[in-house]
Amino acid sequence: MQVSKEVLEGISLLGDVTVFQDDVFKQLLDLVFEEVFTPLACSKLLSVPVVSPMVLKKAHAAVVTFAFDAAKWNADNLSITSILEDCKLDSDRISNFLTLYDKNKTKMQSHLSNVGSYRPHIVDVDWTEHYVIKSSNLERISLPSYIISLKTESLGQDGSSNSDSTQFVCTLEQLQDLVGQLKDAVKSLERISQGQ
Amino acid sequence: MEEVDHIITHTLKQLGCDIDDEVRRLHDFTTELVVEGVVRCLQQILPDKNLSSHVPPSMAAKYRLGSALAEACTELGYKGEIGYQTFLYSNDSELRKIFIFLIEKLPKEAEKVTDEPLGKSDLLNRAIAEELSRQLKLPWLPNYCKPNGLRWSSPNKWHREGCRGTHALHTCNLFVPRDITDSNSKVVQVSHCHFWVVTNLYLNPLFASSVYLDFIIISSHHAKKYFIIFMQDEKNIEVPVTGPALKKPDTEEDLKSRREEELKTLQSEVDELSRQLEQLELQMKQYNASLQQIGEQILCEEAKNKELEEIYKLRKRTFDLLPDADNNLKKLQEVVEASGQRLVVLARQWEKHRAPLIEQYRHLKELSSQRLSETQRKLEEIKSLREKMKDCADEARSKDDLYKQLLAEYERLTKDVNRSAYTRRIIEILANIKKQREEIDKVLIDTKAIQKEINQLSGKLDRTFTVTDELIFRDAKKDEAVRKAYKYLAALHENCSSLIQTVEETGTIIREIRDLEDQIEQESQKKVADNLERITADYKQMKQENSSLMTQLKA
Repeated sequence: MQVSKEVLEGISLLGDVTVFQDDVFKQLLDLVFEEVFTPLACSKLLSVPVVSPMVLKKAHAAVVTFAFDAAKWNADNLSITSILEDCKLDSDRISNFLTLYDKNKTKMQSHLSNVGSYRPHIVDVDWTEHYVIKSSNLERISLPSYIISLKTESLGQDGSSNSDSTQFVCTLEQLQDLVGQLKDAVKSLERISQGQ
Repeated sequence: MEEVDHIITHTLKQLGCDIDDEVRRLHDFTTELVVEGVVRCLQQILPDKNLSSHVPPSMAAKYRLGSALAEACTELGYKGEIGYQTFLYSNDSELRKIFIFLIEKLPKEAEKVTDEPLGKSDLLNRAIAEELSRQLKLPWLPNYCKPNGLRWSSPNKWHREGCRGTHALHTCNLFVPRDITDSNSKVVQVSHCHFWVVTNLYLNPLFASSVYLDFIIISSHHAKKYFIIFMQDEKNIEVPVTGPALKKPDTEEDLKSRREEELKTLQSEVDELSRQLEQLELQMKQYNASLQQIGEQILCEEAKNKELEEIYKLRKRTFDLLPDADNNLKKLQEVVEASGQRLVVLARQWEKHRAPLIEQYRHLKELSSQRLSETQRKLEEIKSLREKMKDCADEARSKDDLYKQLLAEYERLTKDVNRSAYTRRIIEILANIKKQREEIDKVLIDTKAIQKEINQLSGKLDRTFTVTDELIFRDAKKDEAVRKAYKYLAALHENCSSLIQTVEETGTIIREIRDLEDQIEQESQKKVADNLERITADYKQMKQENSSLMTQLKA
């Protein structure tokens, strides 16, 4: 896991006992892990009693970046401890950080998974079967035809999800083909899950 | 026989044949099943042979398939008689023999246990398989039950099903203050300058003329940096609009010019003062330097003074001693001799003292070096022990992992083959065979003994007969009764030999009967009548197909 120089400097500030006393350190850590999930908690940051706001800002930024990098890389406790020891934090501060990190790790990772581009997700399907008797081109067609409408949810421009639907028409053979391919996909998944 | 059938069906099921559970004996195998089984075995043994596992409907194709299978089996080395009829019109014992032969020929790697399950790709595949099977087991949820598109399963595990709440990557820079060299300094350092003049800030027409700026200059001698805090004196702000005019309201230009003049004078004063300060400081430095120099000179002079004093004292004493020169010389010589002797005595004493001390010193040095080497040895031992501990811990961990994986695999494997039952049966069968062999040997020994007896007896019989024959024939020429006896003897011999012959013939006939019965049984097993019916039906079908093909050709 690689951490940038500014983040390391910020964390070394955090380890300095003269700048951050123990209870202030704990308050900052709690705040960091809380505001990740509730953005309105940011305002509580101003109430942390530290000597200068620049130091607070730098340390806070460093801790947030480091915690999220660790969650992104799925770092184990050993590498985190070694990096924090390089920044000269003492062992109970490191253990505080690690307990909080372990508690919140899955939530952070699930939040990080929100970032990405995903295809629209099919949630529902509507189908109707029609029977075509004749059309303008042929005098007598007596064949069924199917209209399938797939309801999907997808990403909107601003991050909200909106539901769309995709419609298409197909004949019996095409529908059988589609169903056959879906079944093939299911079977191949099951085969992989059985380890072959 | 049932176990054999069971083993055969089980192996075929493992190879992938679709065998129903009711089919237990080879007797119940249909032709299609036979063909499928044989083809799958052949595919395992000879993977490049391309044989279809379905029985085609037309007779000619069936014949071709049968002969191809028979050829393949003969290629592999099957020693019995084999042809298309063994597959299409099968009987039990032949099928059994063929299947046993094929299953023996199956490549043994099909049953190996994976013996390197710890490769990284294997681990990854297994992890993927586990995760997928866990996800597949979960029931369907509608999309509004999944917060943010994530699906949480109980022990803190989640996976994504859906794309709610997702967004593209959006970055923003985080501005962090740099250059905090001394976190204890509370004010940002400003470069070397004397003061800060803020001219335009307060020259706003709203504020009246008498706004004064106070400057406080703090200088520190060490670093020559100036920390400047400027304050604003707010008492003198006047708003000309509101209050009644206490002075004459000057025009704006006058005010400006006056202010500028004042500023200039103040500036010049400040310049003067700072120049003076600089000069004074320079002078102070010079004085300090000269002070130091003079101090050093004083020290030098004092040292010289002391030396001269000593020389003077010495000279004075010799001068005093001069008037009484001879006596003093003798006294001085005695004093010199006495001091020389004293020196020798002292040296001897010192030697006496020195020797044991040196020995002690050497002894202690040896002890300390020994202790050093011991400590080094112990350190090395500790290091090696620690490495061994690490190795053992690693081995234990890897063995634990292996054990867990093998346990998981073992639980996954299906358990419908009971190996211990088979091994028990095999051992029982071996014991039976051993007993039977012993019995056969006994019977053979008995037979040999009986045969020997028969030979002995028949030999004896022949000899006695020739002897009696000669004896009686010699006497037969003279005596009538002896001739009769001779005739009776001959008849007796003939009858007995014919009896023996009949007994032997009965024996052979009984043996032939047994053989014929065996043959009958074998033939009846071949189901000849059934097969004959099927062959006639197939033959008729072939004829029909041929005729239809001919009509198609002609048409």
